[in-house]
This record gives sequence, structure tokens and C-alpha cells, in this order.
Amino acid sequence: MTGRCRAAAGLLLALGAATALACGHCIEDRVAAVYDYGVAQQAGREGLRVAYLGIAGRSAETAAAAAATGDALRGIAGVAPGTLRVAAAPAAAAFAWSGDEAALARILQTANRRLVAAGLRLELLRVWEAGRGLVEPPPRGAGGRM
Amino acid sequence: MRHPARPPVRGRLAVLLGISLLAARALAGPADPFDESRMDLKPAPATLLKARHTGPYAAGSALSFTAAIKPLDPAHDKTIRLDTSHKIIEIAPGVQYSAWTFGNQVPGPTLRARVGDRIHFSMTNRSDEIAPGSISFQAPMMHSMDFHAAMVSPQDKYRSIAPGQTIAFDFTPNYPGVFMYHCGTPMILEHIASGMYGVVVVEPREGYPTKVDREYVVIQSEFYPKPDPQGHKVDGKPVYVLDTEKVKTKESTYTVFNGRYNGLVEQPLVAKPGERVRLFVLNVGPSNTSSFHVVGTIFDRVWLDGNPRNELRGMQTVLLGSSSSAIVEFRVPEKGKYIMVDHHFANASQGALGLIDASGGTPDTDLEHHNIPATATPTDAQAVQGKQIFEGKCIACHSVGEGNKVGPDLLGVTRRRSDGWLVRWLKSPETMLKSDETAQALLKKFNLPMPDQGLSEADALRLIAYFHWFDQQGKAMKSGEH
Repeated sequence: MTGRCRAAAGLLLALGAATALACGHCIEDRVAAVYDYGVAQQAGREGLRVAYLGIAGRSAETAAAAAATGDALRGIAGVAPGTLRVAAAPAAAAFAWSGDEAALARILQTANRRLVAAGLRLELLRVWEAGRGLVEPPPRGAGGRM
Repeated sequence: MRHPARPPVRGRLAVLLGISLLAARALAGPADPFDESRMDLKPAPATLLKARHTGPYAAGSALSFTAAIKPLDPAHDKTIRLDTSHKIIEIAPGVQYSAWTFGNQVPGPTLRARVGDRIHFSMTNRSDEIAPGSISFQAPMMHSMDFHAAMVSPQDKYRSIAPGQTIAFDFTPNYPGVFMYHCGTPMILEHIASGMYGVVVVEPREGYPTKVDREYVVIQSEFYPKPDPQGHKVDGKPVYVLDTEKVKTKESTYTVFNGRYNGLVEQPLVAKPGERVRLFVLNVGPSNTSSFHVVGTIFDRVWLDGNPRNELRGMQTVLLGSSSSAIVEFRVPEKGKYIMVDHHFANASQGALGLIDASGGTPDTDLEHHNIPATATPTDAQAVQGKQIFEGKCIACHSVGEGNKVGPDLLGVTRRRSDGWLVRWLKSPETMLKSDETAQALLKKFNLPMPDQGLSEADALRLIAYFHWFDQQGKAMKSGEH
């Protein structure tokens, strides 16, 4: 097989993989995997917001990764007790938090530091807020409300 | 002598070119009905709306709400709404199931369109409200819509929306067929098994090549209920919820047509002798295959996936995997009741039965000649599961009302033994044989110890529910002897 053929085959495989991932792996599907109506209602009552996160990494879609993510987030100041939800497939997590965007950024920084050894990383996908529903987070570095 | 006038050279060339083009077209055959240049492959992005729908959960003149599908609405633009809801539905007599729906019904309404039509679709996730006259104990959750009839980006159009959100998008059906629609939110298996599916019928641009007298939609699907762990009841009857383990291992309790155990026996599809019938058949699954058959006739035409280009003639059955469909057309030869059945008879015994009633109103629904009486199977989910266990583990040694085999005939067993005794016996026959006089008497009579089948208490209770059912049914039958 020539180098060009190999490159073409590689591209096809990559496209195939992307297609296979299309079902159940788009952002909203990952949010749905950890969406808990009760948590959103509780957050609304208590003036909190809910963060929905994707778990990235080579072995993200495993029970071990879900457990590691739960361990990493549990107990961090600002994560509202009893609101943490984690799913293995699709790999996602959610929790209600108190405070502003900077507080959320600190929570994610702490969790991601704890997850480095496991080769995992949390990525913010959506935020739920009473009256606004599910919204996209602002691009990194942008100011304003989420 | 004058020669007749000849056309100029340029004119002759034009005539030749025209003839050549006509000849080329004739050789090429008719135009390709699936010419991609006529397809819509650039749909506009979906929109998320703040406003939520109120009022009916389904709307649109192109929708049909029963098995009798309406004729095609000739309008090119079709606006439809299919909102999601959670509600309790009855999937078998006395079995109240916690369902998730499109359009507040299971299956969802049927959309009928034509290739090239424009579908304007919108959906509010109303799982956070209770529809008038409905009951639900299910927590609201995210849902989505996946139209197999559309060619669109799943990440854009089929995204999940939260309770209270509304999504809207347009699409154009490019191919004719009988297409499934369903919720595509994880776990997809659970959303489909809970009732979130329906059919889109897409006719060819030029319509179907045959004429029929009747058209009906038949949708096969499976249910996997278990008693609600929270013990909810409706009108004193227990509520059932999805058994998330059995759905993964494909151990269905009911396999049904149009959302209900023997539903199309209770409400047959009507026809007259001599008429030609067209059925739009979809097997939803979510996991099992259907071998669709109509007793007493032959499918003159089968259009696989509902596309007349995929034609088979003279078929006895059509095999449909999950999300596979077909249009079947047949003649009703004479007066009678023609039984629709999944010829995987294990599925038929779970409720995949229906009737084409061309009897002119004969009141009975006698199916005995086909050995699939409508009452041959219990409808209570516990008893149905008990029957499955019985047929898997007990039937080699025991009969019900057909006399003793290696072991005793079990008809009347619930009148002879208490439920407590039966639970102990089914769970631990070896232990019972050491100390229980009745067990020892049975061993003496049949000379063969009852083997330990490794039944759990739950399985024993399911079996006993089945025993109670056939003892209720068997009042008119002779009692078993042992």
C-alpha cells in the first residue's frame, strides 16, 4: 500500500469513527445522560446553577473513569452536596454549584488536577440556570454571564 | 430540372442533434426517481425556542392517530407538532405501564407525506407537566426526535432538549418508505422501550403504483415491564415500569401490535371480502425481529422498507428487523377473519396478534383453529414471566390440564397447596424432601425427586402467579390429578 493509500484509508477510518460517535455522543446527549430534573429544581430554589461536563480522555467511557471523576469532584468547596451525577457512557458529569463563573473555574481546575494521573479531563458543556434553561458556556476568556 | 430545396447545413445539424438526444434518452430509460439533484441535502439549522407549546400534544392535518391512516394531505408544506409526555398507559388488561410518549400516545401519531414535501416540525419537551386526564409518576427528563425519513445532521436536529424547551426544524423526505421515528436520547434503548416511537409514511412523488380499498398502519414493539419498586397504583392496580435489566437481555414480557397486547384483536382492522388491503408495517423492536404474516392470504406485493422499487411478489411472510418496515398488499379472498401474527410464535404468544375482520360483523373472535387463542396467555406481567419460566424449566415434566407426565399435572395446584408451601417447594425441593410429608408423598407417588432448578424467590412467585392464572382460567377445565 502506498503512503497516499494509507493516508486515505486512515482518513476513511477517522471519518467512520466520527460517524459511529454520532449517536448518543453529541453535547446534548451527554448532558441528558446526567440530567436530573430534581437537581435542576433544587438548584433553582436555592439560587444555584448546574454545570454539565464531558469527561475526556482515552479511557473516558469506563466505570473506572466515572468513579475517578466522582472522587475528584466530591468534596470540592462550592459543589452543592447531593447534586453530583456521573455517567460512564456517554461519559459526563453534572453538579450544582454556588458562586460565580470564577468559582466554577476553580472547581474544574481542582478536579482536573486530581484527574491528571487517570488521563482524564473535564470539559464544560452546558450550564443550567433558572429562567434561562440550558445555555452554552461563554468561550474561554470571555466575560459576562454564562 | 429543379432539385427540391434542402435545409441549410446548420438546420440539418440541429435536427440530427435533436434526434440523437431523444435516442440517447430512450436508451437511458426513464428518469432516476432517486436523482440526487432533486433532493434536499441542505436543510436549514434547527432552532431552540423559548416558548413552550400548550394545548394538544400533537397537531397537524398530515397526522393520523389510529391504525386507519388518513389519505395523503395534498399540501406541499406540512406543519406538525409532536410533544413529548410521560403518562400511564394500559399495555395489557390490568397492566398499567409508565410510558414516555410522542403526542401523548403509544405509538405516536403517524405522519403521511410525499417525496419532496416540506415538513415543518416542532416539539416541546412536556415531560414536566401532566396531560389532562393522565397520570405519571416518572421524573421529567431530556428527550429528542430522530426521524429516519430525514437526511439531516443528528447533532443539530436530533439534539436532546430539556423539559420546557422547544425545538423546531424542517426537513424534506427524499426517499419513499415507511420510516420509524423515535427518541434518540441516551439510553436510547430505554426511551424506545418506554414508548417513544412512531411512523412516517412517505409516498413516491407519483404516488403508489397500485390501488387499494383499505390502508392501515401496524406497528410491532416489545414491552419489558416490572412492578414499580415504589409501589404506585392506579385505580387500585399496580403500576409497572421499565425493567432496565430485562430490556438489555431482550427478555420481553409483551410483544404487541399498535401498543397493546392483542390490541388489534380487541379492535380488528375492518375489510370486506374481495377488497384489496395495504398495510404499512413497522417493527420497532427495540431488539427483536418480526416475521409478519397474515393467516389465510398471500402478500401479492411486498415493498421492503415501504419503497415500491424494492418489490417482492407472492410472499407468505416478511422478515423485519428492528426499525425495518414493509408495505404489504393482499386480497381478502372471502368472508372471514384473517389473523395477523408474528410467526415467531413466542412473540405471538406475548400479544403480537391482530385481526383483519372481513366477516361482516360475526361477533365471535374464534382463533382456535390456529392454536393461538387470545386467552392462551396471561396478561398480568408477573404471570407472563411465570409462564416463560414454566415453559423453560418445568414443561418437560409437568403439564397443565393434560394429565400427569414424569411429574404431576399442575392444574389446580393453587387449590391443593398454599402459596407459602409452593414457594418453599420451588426454591428448595431437596430440603423439603427431608422433612415435609407432602413432598415425601409426591416422591413416593412419582418415584422421581423434583430437581432443584435454582429458582429465586421472585421467580417462584412469578410461577405461582402463572399457576393462579391458569387455575382461574381452568375452572371450566377438568382438574389435574396427583
